[in-house]
Amino acid sequence: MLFSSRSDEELICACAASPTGANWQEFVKRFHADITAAVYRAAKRWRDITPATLEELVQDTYLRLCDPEKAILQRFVPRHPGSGAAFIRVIAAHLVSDHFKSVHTQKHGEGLIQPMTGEEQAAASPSCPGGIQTIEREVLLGQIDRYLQAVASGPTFERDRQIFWYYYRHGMSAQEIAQVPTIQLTAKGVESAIFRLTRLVRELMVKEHLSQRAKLSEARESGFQIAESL
Amino acid sequence: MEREPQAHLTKDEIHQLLLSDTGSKDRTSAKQRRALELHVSSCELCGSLVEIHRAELSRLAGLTVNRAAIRGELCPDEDVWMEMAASLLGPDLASRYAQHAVSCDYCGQMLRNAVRDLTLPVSGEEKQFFTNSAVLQPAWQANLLEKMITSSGSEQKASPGYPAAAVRRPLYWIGAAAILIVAASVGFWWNTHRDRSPEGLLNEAYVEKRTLDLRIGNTRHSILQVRRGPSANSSLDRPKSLIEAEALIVRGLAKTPHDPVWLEAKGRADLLAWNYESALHTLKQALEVQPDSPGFLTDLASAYFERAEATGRDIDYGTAFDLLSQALKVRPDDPVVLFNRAVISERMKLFDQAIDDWEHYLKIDPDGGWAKEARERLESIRKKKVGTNQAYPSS
Repeated sequence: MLFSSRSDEELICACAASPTGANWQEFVKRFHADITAAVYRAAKRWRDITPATLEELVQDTYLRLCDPEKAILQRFVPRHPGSGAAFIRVIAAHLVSDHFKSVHTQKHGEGLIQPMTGEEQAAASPSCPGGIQTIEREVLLGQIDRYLQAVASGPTFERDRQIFWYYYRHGMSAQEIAQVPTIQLTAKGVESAIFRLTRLVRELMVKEHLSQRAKLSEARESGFQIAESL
Repeated sequence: MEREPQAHLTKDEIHQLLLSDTGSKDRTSAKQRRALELHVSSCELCGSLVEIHRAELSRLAGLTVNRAAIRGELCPDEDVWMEMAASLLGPDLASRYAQHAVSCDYCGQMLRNAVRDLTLPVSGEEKQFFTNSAVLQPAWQANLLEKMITSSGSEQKASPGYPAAAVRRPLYWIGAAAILIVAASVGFWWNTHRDRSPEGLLNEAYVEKRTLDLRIGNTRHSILQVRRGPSANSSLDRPKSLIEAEALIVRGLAKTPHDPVWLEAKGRADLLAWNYESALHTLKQALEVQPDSPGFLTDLASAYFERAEATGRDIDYGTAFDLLSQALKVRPDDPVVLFNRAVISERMKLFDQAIDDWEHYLKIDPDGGWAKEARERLESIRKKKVGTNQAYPSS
């Protein structure tokens, strides 16, 4: 069979079963861009890297992928077209992540080691987890979740709820949300769900706001009446 | 139709006004928007209402940033988010993780980062960086390829010196010792236990020396003696009945190599000996013959579980969980499948799922040794869950 006519999934299975030079050559040709990008991005989550570090990490990733004792490629189960390249990118990212975890452990001993999140990278000034802002936010999150349960129902409730929170809580774009496999909508579909849910939730928030305001003025009124009667 | 200038804004009009605030594409023309704004500027009531709507919208937008996201006790391994974003998880597991990510700032960020890493095209900055390194140069790639060929053993396979190299490996001697022991046992067995089936022998081996948290087949209860891994995988430690079963299986497979009954028996023997890679290989073969067999799905799940236990590769717990969920679709009340999924759910910190499975299990099998163990495990998870909730109330 011609190499070029094999799918990515078939190529991975071929490399796992028969690690010949020709198979590896095609493997490098086919997945080099995926591996390089995955390694670079995974490494950037841990620290800024130099071109030399990238070379070292990319090479290390390939050597681990083809190590017969690790048998990483043998674990691949083709699930759908495209799962081959996705598997390779995921494995590359995991290997880099393992590398940095091990480096950190050697330097600092065992302990909780986490990659930096986007926000931590942007502003390394953690706010207090138990602070007033955090508590207020938690209360608001709970309140909005109840609104969502009131406005979104039926078989799409869980999906709609996920879309809403991925967008507002985690800051994902409609395009990114559409990539989450549990959503199963196009970016357009996600966008329209966001508009619909935002409007419904916002209207309930306004209703609550107005009702609070009415209660407050009622309380003031009765306060004045009590004061006047004294 | 033109709007009445004095009429208060409807909900739709407020919505249109807010949409045009954000620059979203909507059907409001510039003329309509001007008319709406004109009314808002002249009507105190509508002006105030629109302001409230804007304020609430801004509260929603302000929910995103959370710099203090901390990994909680119930958070799954970080590696799962990449696998989820790459659609490499089964639907049941993906759905459970999605529900967690929705309400967890830390994991939500992890999922978002994973989606970005996997889907964003290579940026100009990244391209520039790759160009500055050697990774894109053909000479570097050729050198890499050479190392891969050497490292993967491609050349060694073709080399006539390979058997000699194999003899130097300890596994060769362990294998040879296993073959000798098996051969000696075959003779003994043939004269004394002719009527014993491989399934019976395997069950006996499991009960005699249980080395796995999971149940294999429908055996009577046995206390977990020692959790084993590949390092403890000496043939000398194996129960005699297992060695006997292995000999039978070798003969059976020699006659009918694709018989699912023999394949399942071999898979189980491998599981008992903690030869999980071999078990995976064999049980996948068996599943190809009978794709929906709950028994094969359960045993294959046990092989993934063993590998996860031995190598720390948490994703294998996920695969095992998915396989058992598949088996439960065919046999929803199968006690062995429920037992095993409960154990795996606990490993994955899916405590609610584990509790559900144990409770379900105890309805199906309320008495006996397995039920006693199930109750103890259920109790321990409940305590663990209470402890976790107290330590991390917000997660």
